[in-house]
Amino acid sequence: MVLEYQCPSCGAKMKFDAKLQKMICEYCGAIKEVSEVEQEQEQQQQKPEPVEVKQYICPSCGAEIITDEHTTATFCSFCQSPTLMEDRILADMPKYVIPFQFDKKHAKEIYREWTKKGLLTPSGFHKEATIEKITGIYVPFWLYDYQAEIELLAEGKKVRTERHGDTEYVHTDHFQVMRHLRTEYEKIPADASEAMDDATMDCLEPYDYKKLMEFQMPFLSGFFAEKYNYTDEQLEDRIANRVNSYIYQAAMDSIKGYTSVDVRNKNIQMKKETAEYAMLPVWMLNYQYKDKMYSFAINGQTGRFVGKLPLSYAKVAGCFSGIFLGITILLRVIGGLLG
Amino acid sequence: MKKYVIALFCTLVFLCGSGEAALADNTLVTNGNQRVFDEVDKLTDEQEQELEEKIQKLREEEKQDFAIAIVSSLNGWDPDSYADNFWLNNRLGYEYSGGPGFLLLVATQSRDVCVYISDSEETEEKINNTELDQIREAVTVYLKNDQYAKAADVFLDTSVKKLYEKNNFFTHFRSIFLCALVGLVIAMIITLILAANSKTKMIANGNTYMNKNEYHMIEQTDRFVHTTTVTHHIDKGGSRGGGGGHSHRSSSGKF
Repeated sequence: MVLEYQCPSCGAKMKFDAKLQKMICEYCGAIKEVSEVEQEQEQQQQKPEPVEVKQYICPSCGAEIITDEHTTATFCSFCQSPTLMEDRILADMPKYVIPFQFDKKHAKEIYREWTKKGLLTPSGFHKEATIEKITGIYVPFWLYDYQAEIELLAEGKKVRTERHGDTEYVHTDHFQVMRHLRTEYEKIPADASEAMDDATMDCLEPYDYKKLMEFQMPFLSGFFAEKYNYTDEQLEDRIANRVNSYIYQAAMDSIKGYTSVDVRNKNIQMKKETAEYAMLPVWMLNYQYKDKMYSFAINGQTGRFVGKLPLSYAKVAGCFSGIFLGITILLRVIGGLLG
Repeated sequence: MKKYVIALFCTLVFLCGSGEAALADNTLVTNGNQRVFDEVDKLTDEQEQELEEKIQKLREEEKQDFAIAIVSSLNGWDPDSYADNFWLNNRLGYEYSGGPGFLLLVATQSRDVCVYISDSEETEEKINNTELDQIREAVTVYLKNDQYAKAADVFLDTSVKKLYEKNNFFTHFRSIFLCALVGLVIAMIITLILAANSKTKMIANGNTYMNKNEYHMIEQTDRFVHTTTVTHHIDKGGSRGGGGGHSHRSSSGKF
């Protein structure tokens, strides 16, 4: 079933406004709380009027909406109406959502600022790079809670030196170091979308979980959304690796005051407590520069950007030569004056 | 009897004192603080005084002794041997007789010039024979024009400069090759960092997701096991001290 939120005042479509954090009517400008719209929608659904279709049909213009099997929120390609695949969402409802905190315009500004930052990017890049597409997507994530415990045995060495007359004594004190610690990790995210690059999604972290909310469908309106491709079990190894390195680092950080530490043995136990399904906001941006496409992602909550700027080989060579000559001349002058 | 004992004691004291004075006269060519020895009056009293003062200052700063000897003849000795005997007989040297320092020896009749170093660990490391020749060459320029005071002054300055050069980190950068090498390495590092910065890195870590940002330490021990000791003998270079001989080098030539 395709779900469209209608304005109670004029009947036009409503969508979620990231700035206001409320639902807004595009036509009459009416503003409603998300929970209010959700309640009204539920009341409407009790009326025997839902448009049940096997193939999704846009309730605004009647056009067929073509999506892949995991899409849960999209736009009609003919009338651009925001539409939600309610049955898909209800079939596997996310527990949490972090709503978008800024709109498309602000995302573009972040991108523009970012393009100015690269010292080695081509000169005309800022002006010539054209944004081909900017899309707000709720990406499915699993948020894992883990309990982990480590027993670590190491040899710590403290080296001290003393000198008596013509003899230097290097004393090395050897210590047997043992650390047994336990900790809990909360809501480690792993993106469950096949379409999203894992490394890019990892770089978008961290999200501020203070703004994590119970999932409500109206938040998805006006954005793309996908259902997860991977179950929490399928991504467990990825998170277990992270927990493994986290607790090992915590144990190592607790060993202080030694000149060197050699780990002799470690035993790590970990247990998955929960894995909860959440939708986290990401702005995906594709831009074209010199017939080549680049992609760029922005954390829709914190504004953290992830991407790679193109490099200008001429600028790289210029930068290298400039630094090389500058340092060489400077050192030679200093050597001549002070040497 | 008591008078005889007192008289004998006084005589012994007198003889001992005069004997020591006589010994001192035979051993010390000049008084212990003198560092400018001008037998042939090539320097004015004022110039000698200025050089003495400069040497006193340099001694403390450089922890090296400095002396200037202008003699008429080497009495048939070669310059190196004469300079070495002169250094030892006059008890020259920083901190102890025969200790480290620099001597400029000029013989006016034979027109010999010799730059002599009583080596210490420091001078052995810092001044090689080429540099010793360079000091002598710098001095010779002025001796040729009979500018003895200027030659002495240049000797002191050049010797100190050679010592200082090796103490100064920036001296290494007098080599253009080294400057270029350092420049190359720094340029590569900076360019790589700038290039790497065009790509975003992951910033979340274990602390980001650790509950209340703390862990529970169940058990923690740091047990001392044993100590191992390795000894290194520090080789201080050539022998030093009055009794055991000393090492020295010199650069001689004519002016």
